[in-house]
Amino acid sequence: MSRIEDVLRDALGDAPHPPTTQPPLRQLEQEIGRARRRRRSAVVLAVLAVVTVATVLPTVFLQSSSDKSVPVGPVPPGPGREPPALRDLGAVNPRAIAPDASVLYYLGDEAPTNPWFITRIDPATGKDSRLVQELPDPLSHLAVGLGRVWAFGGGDGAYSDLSRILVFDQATGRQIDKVTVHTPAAPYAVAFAQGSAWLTMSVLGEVWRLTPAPPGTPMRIEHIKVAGQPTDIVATESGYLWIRQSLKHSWVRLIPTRNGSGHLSAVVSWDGPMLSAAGGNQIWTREGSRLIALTPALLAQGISVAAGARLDLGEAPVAAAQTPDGLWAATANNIYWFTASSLRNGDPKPAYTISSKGAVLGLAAVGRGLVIHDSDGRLYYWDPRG
Amino acid sequence: MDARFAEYVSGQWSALLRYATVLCGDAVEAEELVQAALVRVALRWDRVEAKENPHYYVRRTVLNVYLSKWRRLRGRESLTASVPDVAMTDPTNAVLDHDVVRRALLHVPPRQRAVLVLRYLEDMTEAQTADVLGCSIGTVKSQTSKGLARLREVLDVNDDVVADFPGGVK
Repeated sequence: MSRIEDVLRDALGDAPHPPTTQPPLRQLEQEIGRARRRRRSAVVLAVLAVVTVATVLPTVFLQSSSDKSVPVGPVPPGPGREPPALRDLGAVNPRAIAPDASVLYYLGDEAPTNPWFITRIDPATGKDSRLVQELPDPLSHLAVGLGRVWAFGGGDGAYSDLSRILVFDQATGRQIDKVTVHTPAAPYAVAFAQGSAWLTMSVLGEVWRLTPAPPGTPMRIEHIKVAGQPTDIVATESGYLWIRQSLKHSWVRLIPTRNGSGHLSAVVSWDGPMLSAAGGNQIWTREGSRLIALTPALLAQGISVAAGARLDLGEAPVAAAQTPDGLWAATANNIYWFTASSLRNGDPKPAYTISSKGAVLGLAAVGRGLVIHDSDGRLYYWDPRG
Repeated sequence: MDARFAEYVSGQWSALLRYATVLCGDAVEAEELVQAALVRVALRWDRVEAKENPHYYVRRTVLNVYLSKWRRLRGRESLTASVPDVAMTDPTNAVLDHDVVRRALLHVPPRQRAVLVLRYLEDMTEAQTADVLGCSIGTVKSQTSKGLARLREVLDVNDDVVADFPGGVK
């Protein structure tokens, strides 16, 4: 016998005896009672399911429904319980979308004859209204934060003002600010934290902090040098921002300061994109076909458990939108809904999934549902729980 | 609750807890594992009791509950404040102790770990271990060999170093 076996035998023989010597018989009895009730319910449900399937399946096969949604979660089968299909919102050439609670803002154009505009739409009812009738030049990005709608873009040198950031009052649509970049370097992305908008200026190698000021006073603009071409930016619940340095294959933390612009601290070696905030200090990112909730603050400390939930979607995830109820995730061809409880329980299976129409470009969680922006230039609304 | 089942639980509780603690490395989780396993056993106690050796069946159930939980969680890591790294020993000083060996065991894959626990904690023969795990004796032998190899690797020791282990080889 090898010596390692002796050591192991001694070590196990020396394992401490648990301090609890009396079994929790009462608790055990309650659990056994619950298990028996569950087993009886399961038998009843199984019988019901067999009857339902036998009754409903022939009807379903006879109908030529275009609804491709597949409930794979806990919703019991039955007539009237299938999640609805994607609903076309009838948006006009949407270029960018931005959600805010139960409404969606989108930036569109009626080219070639009509100008660019911003529309506010309630996807649940389909009711919409123009917030901004006419933008001076084509823009490509939209964000909502700090009671304002932020539109920005340009950057290719084709327009007289070069790149610009336009800020509108969220309620009235009145333009309240304009920042000209003075160089063909459009902002790449924006995040909101500590009362400021933080924009990554990839080409300039900077992050701009824009802090709205009272009416009549100019917006405060501060510039922070960030090497390695800053692209994605996400604010976490700790109030910090994480910025992707795309050329350095890393993420860096930016800590906002009260009287200054902020300072850079931890650097994390991670090449994946930032798809969205994941709650707490986590950020949804991807690695191959997996969607990963990464805690960069832990990874920066070399802690190996920095990657939380990992969801293998079978193909590369392109977008994610976290809500208190759960997670919307998309690959180019499919959209998934995971409940918060399934993510917490460590056995995440999508409660619902549906095929997209065109390739998914972006997602926006709006109210109880989801707006999908696809490559065919359409916006669809999906509320599988509706 | 069946009186004979309650009696069995009372008599086996501590031993099952110890078995589960060594298996999963956490006393609280072990208690949950044992309770979940006992609930399963209770639902078919009549048949379990009639078996030649109910202990094997109960231990197998604890193991199955543990393995199914491990399978469910392996795709997902939980955030924790403490790094789950095992403190490595310095072979030159032969600073090995039993606690280090038990913690190193947690780095052995679960099924191999189960084989080692049954063989060296429960003192089961290869045949008995195969009976509990529902596999062949050959599988038990190969899993034992692989598990011990992994343990050596984790402890970063060879048998010469183990020989210097103060509390180890008699």
